[in-house]
Amino acid sequence: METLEGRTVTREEEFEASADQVWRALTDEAILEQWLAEEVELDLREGGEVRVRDDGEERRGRVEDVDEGRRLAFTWAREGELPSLVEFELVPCISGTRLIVTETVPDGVPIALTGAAWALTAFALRGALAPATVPQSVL
Amino acid sequence: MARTEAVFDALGDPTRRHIVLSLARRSASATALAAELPISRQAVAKHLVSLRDAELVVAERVGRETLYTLDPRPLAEAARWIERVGEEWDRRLASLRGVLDKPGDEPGLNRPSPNI
Repeated sequence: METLEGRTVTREEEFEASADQVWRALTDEAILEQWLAEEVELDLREGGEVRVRDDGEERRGRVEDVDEGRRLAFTWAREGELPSLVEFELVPCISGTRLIVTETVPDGVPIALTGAAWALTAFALRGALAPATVPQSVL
Repeated sequence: MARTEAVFDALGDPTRRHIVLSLARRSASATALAAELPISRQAVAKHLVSLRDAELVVAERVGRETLYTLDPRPLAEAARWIERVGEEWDRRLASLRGVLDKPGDEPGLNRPSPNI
């Protein structure tokens, strides 16, 4: 599932795994290197350093929040870029664990997409539509 | 960069959003746009100036009329960052699913948790 609101990109996925298993996949460097990036250094405490290298690119940031088994938040940025905030939230669900990932664009990055502006952008990019299908919410 | 900010300033106003949506369907004159809005032609002309400043709208003289046309390129530029970030997470989460779906193969996930 994907949603977009404001300056935020959100993804929600359900995994047939316990919150503990998902938490370890988010916090164990060896496991992170199997899915997040080629090289991951994560100092798992508030203020701890984050270094992620992938595809010859390095992102660096800082751990903002650690709530074991529930929430992990850190910032990251490529050299010379403003940091964006990455948040992982774990919610138990019937099939196992729902993982909600959010990346928030920082202020200053030239993206100030409000929900309405985003809907409009998507609409404009799709090209002309019949008047009846104009999303009223953006007006 | 500055242009992208101008784009979202321009779209911050509901009347201008209406004008952009209207122009997405067809090019129109200020008079034609004013006919579908509860504001004067002069007010529409003012909004068209800020849309032109944001390079979202191109004006073209056709006979005695000025016809306004939408240029969606600045919108695409602004949307690109968000699209790229979303694609990155789609790719990472697909890999994470691969890791979590076969825990037996992953020594890291097989390790007993200190919390259990």
